[in-house]
Amino acid sequence: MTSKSSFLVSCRENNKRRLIVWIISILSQIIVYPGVLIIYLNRIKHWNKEGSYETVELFKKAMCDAATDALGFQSFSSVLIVFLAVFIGIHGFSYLYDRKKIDTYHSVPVSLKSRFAVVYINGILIYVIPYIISILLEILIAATQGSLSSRAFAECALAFLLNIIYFMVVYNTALLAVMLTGHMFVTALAVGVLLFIGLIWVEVYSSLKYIFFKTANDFYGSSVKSSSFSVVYRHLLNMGALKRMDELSDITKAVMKLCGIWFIAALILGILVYICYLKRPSEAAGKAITFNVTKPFLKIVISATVGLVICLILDDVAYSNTVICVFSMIIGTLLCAAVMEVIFEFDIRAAVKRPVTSGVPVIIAVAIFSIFYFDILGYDAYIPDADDVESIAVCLNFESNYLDISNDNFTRVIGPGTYLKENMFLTDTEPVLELAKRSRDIESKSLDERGVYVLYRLKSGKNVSRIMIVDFNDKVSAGLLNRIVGSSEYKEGSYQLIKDPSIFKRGDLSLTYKNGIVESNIPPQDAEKVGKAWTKDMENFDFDFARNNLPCGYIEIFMGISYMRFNMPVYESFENTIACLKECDAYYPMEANAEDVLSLTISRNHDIDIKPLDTETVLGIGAGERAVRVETVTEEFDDPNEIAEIVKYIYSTNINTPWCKPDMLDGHYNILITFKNNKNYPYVKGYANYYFIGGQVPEFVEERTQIK
Amino acid sequence: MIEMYNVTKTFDSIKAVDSVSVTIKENTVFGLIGTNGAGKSTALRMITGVLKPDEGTIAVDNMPVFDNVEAKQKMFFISDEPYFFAGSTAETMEQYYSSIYEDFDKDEFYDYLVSFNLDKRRKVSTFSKGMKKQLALLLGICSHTKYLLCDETFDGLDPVMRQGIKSIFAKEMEENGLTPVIASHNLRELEDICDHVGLLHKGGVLLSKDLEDMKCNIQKVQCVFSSEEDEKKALGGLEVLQKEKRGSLSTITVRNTKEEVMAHFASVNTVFFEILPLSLEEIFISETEVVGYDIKKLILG
Repeated sequence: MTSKSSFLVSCRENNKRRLIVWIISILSQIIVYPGVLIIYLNRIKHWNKEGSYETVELFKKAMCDAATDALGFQSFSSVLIVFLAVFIGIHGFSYLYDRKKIDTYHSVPVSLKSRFAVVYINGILIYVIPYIISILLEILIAATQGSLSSRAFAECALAFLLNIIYFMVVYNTALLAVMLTGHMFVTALAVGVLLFIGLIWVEVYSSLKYIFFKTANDFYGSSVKSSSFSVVYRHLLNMGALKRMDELSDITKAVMKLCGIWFIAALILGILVYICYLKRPSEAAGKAITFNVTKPFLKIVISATVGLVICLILDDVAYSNTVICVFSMIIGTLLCAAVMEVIFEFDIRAAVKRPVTSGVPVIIAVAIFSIFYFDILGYDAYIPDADDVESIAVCLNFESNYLDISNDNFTRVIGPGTYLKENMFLTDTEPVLELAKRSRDIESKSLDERGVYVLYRLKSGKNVSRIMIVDFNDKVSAGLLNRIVGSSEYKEGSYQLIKDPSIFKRGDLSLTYKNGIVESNIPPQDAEKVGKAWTKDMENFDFDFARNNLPCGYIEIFMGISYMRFNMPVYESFENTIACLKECDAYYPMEANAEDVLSLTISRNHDIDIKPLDTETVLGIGAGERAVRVETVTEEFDDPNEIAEIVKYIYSTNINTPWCKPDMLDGHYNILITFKNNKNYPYVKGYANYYFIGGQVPEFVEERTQIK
Repeated sequence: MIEMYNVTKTFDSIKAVDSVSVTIKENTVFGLIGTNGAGKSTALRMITGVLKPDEGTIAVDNMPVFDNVEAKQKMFFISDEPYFFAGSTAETMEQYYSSIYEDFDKDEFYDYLVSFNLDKRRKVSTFSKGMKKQLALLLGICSHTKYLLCDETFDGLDPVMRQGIKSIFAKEMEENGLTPVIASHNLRELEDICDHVGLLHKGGVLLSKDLEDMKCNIQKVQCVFSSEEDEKKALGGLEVLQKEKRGSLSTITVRNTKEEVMAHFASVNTVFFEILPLSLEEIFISETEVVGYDIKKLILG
């Protein structure tokens, strides 16, 4: 025999007691969806009045785009969904917190299953029905304003599907918090923990990694993504990413994939919620935690996490003082454990209860700290076995940006880590592994140590990223770098112009040859020819070459659509490139023409030792290191003979020379040239800045710039 | 019939109900008495399926009760603090219960509301404590369940209302076979209502007996014996529970039938002899003293 009350009657009865939730859901969704659409459209109309749109078509397009933005993937709707899912979820099952209500609801002839179904499904309807109403209103408003496009309609449908499933994930998370707790205050804390503790764990892990591991880096993307551990953060990122996508087919594919993932998450959470509901004892009403068995686990996990977070905060505040950090971590963990006991029992005296479960999180926190502090797992020492490595990508960090070639419009600029991860595949792994070993095993005191980002692609499918410190002055290292940089795999992986010469064929290119003082345009029709010549010259490019030669200029390629700039270094030995530039009438030597120089102002910086520091440490200067102050002597040179002598040995500060040996340019001198009005070359400005080439400072300059 | 067999319920480390076995027969008024914390509410909450026993079994008409809709259709539970929905009226509460209980009699409910002078459209939150209890009782009665379980429901009801409810109980018992189960910490509250009483103490059952049986088996005699020999002769063979003498007047409580007592005293000379009626309180004092408890401390305090 079953209760005569049908499901619908039960739903109706349940809804009578959830009127306030209905009202809040309806009002908030109408404000966020149709309300925002109206704001967007009015903004476009306002701009149109101000004359921002030259034609009616542009205005209409802007209106359609605004409607698509409002109807489609809104990031701020994610926040509303979280609020509603938590509010509706907690309100629906709030009777579980109250003994009086439990006595009533659990004594009447309604099975636990049907009560759960009624409250659960009603909760979903409270979100979905106002959402549908809001969307219909939006569509009506957009249609009456003539801004409804098929694209807006499609995005609206996809966003609806994604938001519903996202709601289910957060709703089930909130319900799980309700089922695991017996008091609204504790439920609120539990919701926060369930939604965000994953994010905190990832941040703690990343922070500890960067503080204690020398070789840690996320250059090629983090191995542990924060977003994977937080539903809310993940959805915010998803909405942003979907909004940026151009092709509807790509959006549909991405939404379907996300819906699949969210659906599985919602399903697992839903099953957990249902099991917990059936197992939940009625006497849990009013207690902090429903299932006693979860208390030690929660106490240990949360206290250890809080202890580590306090440690990281103190690490920053206390300038990495290990003793202070560890001490504060222990105290913080114990305090958190005590607070949790107080919450569990709603009794201040419980703070000192169960010392064992208070001690365990301390041990765990200290153990985790020790793993990072002492590098117990050998993170920094890790170098994969050559047999395990499929290929390697390295970045010497000299190229800054690349174009996303997967995007047909070439409108997206991507970072070097993203590009190299997809495009550089060094199969000659030996020199990289050898460099890594030298970096690990040999302590260098060279002034020319550089960070080299390495990505090991292992045969197991795993990618491991490290940064190794390489001494560019070390001969063995230089030999290894020569093998790496000289390889075609490196050049193709590192220089997008070599790998994708089709870039030179694009119509929106503008090429300029720059040598620091002169800028000359290269006709677009010659772009491909110049590109081929430069690629040919780059065949001889290797580490030794780059270290021992200064570029005489560079070709800048500017792409209008993406505002992307590529710089192609040009060396004096690049015969093919220079010949090409000369053909285009674009080549100029780097040295300023002495006849064009009106005067030279040379500033020399003298390092004056303050005091030898043998034992003490002052403001980050280690014992035994040199502490200096800088004194500058400035002299003007206007004698034509002196000028003619000086301009032979100077090098423009406007040219990037990342590969060169540090002593190739003398950084102590700063030379400012002022040009005459009647000049032989088309100088960009009336002045230019230079360095002296290392070891080639004329004696008379040295003498005149001594400290008097 | 409601049967609790060897039922135990523990909250954290406290045993609220410890190996309780009680049988509640149909068509009787069962009183469950005990001090605060004796386990009355816990027992009722387990009988109505709100709580699940840790050990033991509970059956209502041979059906397990926890999460069993069929069994719960036979019961209505009025907790010590009845819950009414926020902003509800007697009418909205009727709508809820009538949607759940198959035999809920709406007409009867509204008739009772008029009889008890309760406004069906007035918000329940504005009702006095006694009015709320009346409303809960009326909802329970009109649900026409076989068992009506009341936790401290009669405490605080004025005598007129008590009488009214008693009349309704009597009518329902006669017409519909209602079996009220009433829990109270006050023995005097149950005296005029119950047919059977179970005494709970510290989670266990001290005794569970029909009041009639108890009344028939315990007699209080007041008499003045002619001589000590007569006294010895009269009391010989009777089970004396209590004996008190003031001057020559003896007051004796014995566990025997009235006929046995009459027969014994008929064979001796007495100056004065009378069998007095025992109050429920006196019966309990006598019964519990036998098992070593001072009932005055337990429930009469």
